[in-house]
Amino acid sequence: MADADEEVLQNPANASVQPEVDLSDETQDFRFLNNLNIYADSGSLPRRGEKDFEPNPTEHQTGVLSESRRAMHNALSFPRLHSKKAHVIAFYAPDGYTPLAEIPPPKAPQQTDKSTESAEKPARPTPRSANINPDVCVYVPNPKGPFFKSVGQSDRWNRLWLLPEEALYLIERGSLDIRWPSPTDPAIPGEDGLSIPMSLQAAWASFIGHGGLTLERYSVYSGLKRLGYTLARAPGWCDEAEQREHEQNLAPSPSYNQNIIPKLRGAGLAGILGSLFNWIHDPYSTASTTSGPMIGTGINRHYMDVYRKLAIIPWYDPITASPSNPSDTTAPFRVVFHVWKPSTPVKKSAPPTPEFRVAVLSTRDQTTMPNMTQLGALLESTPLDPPSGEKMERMMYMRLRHGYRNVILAVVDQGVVSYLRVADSAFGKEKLYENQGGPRGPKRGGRGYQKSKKR
Amino acid sequence: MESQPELPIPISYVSGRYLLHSIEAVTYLRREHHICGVLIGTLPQNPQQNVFLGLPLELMPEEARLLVDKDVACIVDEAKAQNGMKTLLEEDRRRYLRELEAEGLHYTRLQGDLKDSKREQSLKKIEEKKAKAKAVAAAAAAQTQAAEDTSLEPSQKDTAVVDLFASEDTRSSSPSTSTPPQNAMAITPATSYPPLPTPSSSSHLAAPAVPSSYPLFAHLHSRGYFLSPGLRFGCQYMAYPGDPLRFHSHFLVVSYDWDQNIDLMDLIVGGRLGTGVKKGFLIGGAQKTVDEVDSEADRVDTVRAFSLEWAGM
Amino acid sequence: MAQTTPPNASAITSHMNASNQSGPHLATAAQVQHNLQHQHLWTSLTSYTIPASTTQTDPLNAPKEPIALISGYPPHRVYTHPDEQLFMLENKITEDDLRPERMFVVPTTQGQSWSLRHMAVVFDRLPEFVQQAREQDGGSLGVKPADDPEKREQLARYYAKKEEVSGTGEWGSQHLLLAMIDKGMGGDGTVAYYVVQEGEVKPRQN
Repeated sequence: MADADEEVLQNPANASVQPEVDLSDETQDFRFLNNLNIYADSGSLPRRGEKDFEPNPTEHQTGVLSESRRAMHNALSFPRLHSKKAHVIAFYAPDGYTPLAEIPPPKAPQQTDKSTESAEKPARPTPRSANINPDVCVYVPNPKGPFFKSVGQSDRWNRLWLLPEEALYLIERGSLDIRWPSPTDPAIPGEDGLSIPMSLQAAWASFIGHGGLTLERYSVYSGLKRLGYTLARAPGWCDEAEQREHEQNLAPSPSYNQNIIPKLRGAGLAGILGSLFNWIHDPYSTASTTSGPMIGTGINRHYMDVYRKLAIIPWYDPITASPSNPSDTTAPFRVVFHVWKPSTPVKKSAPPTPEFRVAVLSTRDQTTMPNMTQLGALLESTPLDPPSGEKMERMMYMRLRHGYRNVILAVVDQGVVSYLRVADSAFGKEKLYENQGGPRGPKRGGRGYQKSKKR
Repeated sequence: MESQPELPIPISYVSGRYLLHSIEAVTYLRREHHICGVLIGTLPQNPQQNVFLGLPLELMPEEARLLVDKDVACIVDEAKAQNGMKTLLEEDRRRYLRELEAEGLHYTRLQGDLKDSKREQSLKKIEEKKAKAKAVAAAAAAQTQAAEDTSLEPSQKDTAVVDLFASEDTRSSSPSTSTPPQNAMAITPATSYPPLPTPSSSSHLAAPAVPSSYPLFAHLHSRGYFLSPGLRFGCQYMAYPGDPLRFHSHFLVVSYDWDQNIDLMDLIVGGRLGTGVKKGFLIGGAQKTVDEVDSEADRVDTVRAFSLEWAGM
Repeated sequence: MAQTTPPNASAITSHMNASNQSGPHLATAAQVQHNLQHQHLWTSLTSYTIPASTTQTDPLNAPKEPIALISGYPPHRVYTHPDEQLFMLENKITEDDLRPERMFVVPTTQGQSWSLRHMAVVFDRLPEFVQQAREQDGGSLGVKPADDPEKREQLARYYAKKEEVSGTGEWGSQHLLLAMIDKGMGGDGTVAYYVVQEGEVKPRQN
């Protein structure tokens, strides 16, 4: 009745551990946005506004509320202006990448032009253009400025092609002026001097839903981009149908497949049963379960030997588990983004190993928790990332927390995003009995599936 | 600000989700219909943070449905509507570009004014500093003065920023500019209406499909609660007694069907979590199923709800 | 093989056997009653049963299994609505000045079937049981005579207000305690108690 936990519940103010306050958790009072200095790029955030418990009929409260609403209205009306210095124009290309026609085709035989175009395209694949993602839909004829360092793909005419999420993010932050293609001739967009700027509304309507970009994926993309992270699409981006097609193209030979499948199964339950079976028949073991005492009849000179013999329950070792390929995962439990910290330099052409792997879930489409098969396949699709470093070596709970493979689940509920880190901890590898002074490390933590908020 | 947009307000249906792009619509729905949605866009004036977000506003299907049922809003297939850009007459395109240019000129002038006033301010500051340097003898007094000056500075900037937002009335008051009009700044407009005409009622989509929790959602909304998605607290909705801009939420809400089995452990979990954050845990649902009534609205009348709190014993 | 004798039954098992309760729901009730009486020191405990219904098509009908109910007097007030608390504070009334109130408890156990229908039926039948209990208690638990005339006046004001708001929901609505016994892994005898109220009742802030 009076355990410590409950006291904390009754007097949260006395709780010694104050929960971390994440300002983006709650609806913010927009009056405090004015404290953000718009002209300085210092990242200092305003203090959390005081909120009331319930409405009361005081004029003060009404006044503050309408003040907050006015501040919100003002903040949301801020225009997206392009000063002459930093004006970057781009063009919307709804049909994706199209090579620049070197000799503009005569206008009259437009129909014949179209029919030859499809035949022409594969006929002259330039080395750089061949790699351009089929999902691109915006190009920048004259890319300049800092934003294009980590996004886009150049073709041989030095046009930078953007994926829908890249284009939408740039237009949102006011860094790109995207133009509609010319209605008269889509091949030469906007060169008749009448190119109309695309509105933000049009950009959302055109880019969300294009090339597998769901609103949830974009919410994750833009949310992390705003914090300075670098993101790239991961191979799991394509949905199941595309994925299967992709695989068929990749599959080298049927025999290769036959070899790989039983191996993958072996890592599961059958593998565990197998190792149990092996253990029973282990000729070197002094223990015996069929008859006699569990730790055998030999002389035990050390408690460690006894404990070792008592460890009869097989456990999963993430190191020996054979890696699986991403196609074993089931959507949406599939890595769709590779992410790097703001401090990591990422070269577009040769990105380093991703620092985070993110799967995106929508609470409206996926209403249940993932099952072990889904989660296991997702983890196994990520590379081995064992705990390393002096600190991890020393602290058992940090090792357990870090795990041997990890993935981040971005759960999106109608625009609200929560990040969960899932790691597979190898409890079996931590022999507590070998630890002389008992477990060491921070007091908290040590749960199997570690939940932590990524900042 | 207290303006009322033309009804019904078109809600953009994009790839299965419901978005609002018009600031007038967003302000109006919040003020008059207690519909808050979730802001999911980047603010161009502060693009590198997630504390304050901008348009568009994502609505839950429940919110969109409620507004459609009240005839306050309608659903528009936005990608389809944007196709109208292709068939826009050249005349309309020219007119629209002229309008944008005029708006761009207005902002260019405003920014020029802003620069001038900033320059004046900094000039003034330099002069003050010089004056202060001369008055080294009165060092103590000068120091306090300097402190006051710096504390004043941000608020002056704020006013300048707010002025930039102010609508029509400042436009007419700005011709007294010292800078000659330059080339108009390019603008990325917030919405596509204009140049596109308001979508015709024949193009409206059907009312949004809603989850089985809709009756409880609509019931709480009818009682004056503001509702938002509940992911942060592991529930379906958060219920606020007033605008979430100013009030803490009262309830973590979970809906059940009338005969759906409730795991009693879930009640404990929800009740305990709620009490821990000074909120109630509220469960409820409609007594009648969809087959028993004519419409979703009729089910809302049969909703019963229960509030749970830890008893402390 | 040596003959073994089973260990003596625990106090709670004996209690449940003695109360001659058959059926799992009633056994749960007996266990909760035991907990209320001995851990929380409730008095005048009484139990009730809401019979099962044979049909379930009408939403207002009772569920298919009987529901047990217990009532009694807690040594301290279990629940005070925040606005009532404010009123008491303003009128310098403490909990000790007030006459005790009979509290109703629904005993449940983990894994038991439960639904909104169950909850609604309990609340629908509650006034009936409250009335029954009032008659049974009679005037034996009347107002404590207050010596101080000022206090008498404050209390009168309080009871007048309480009468005034009853049924309006201003000081909360009908409420009861939901008791849940943890029977996972055999159970450790823990009973968790939650205040349940009909409708949207704002949470307490302390």
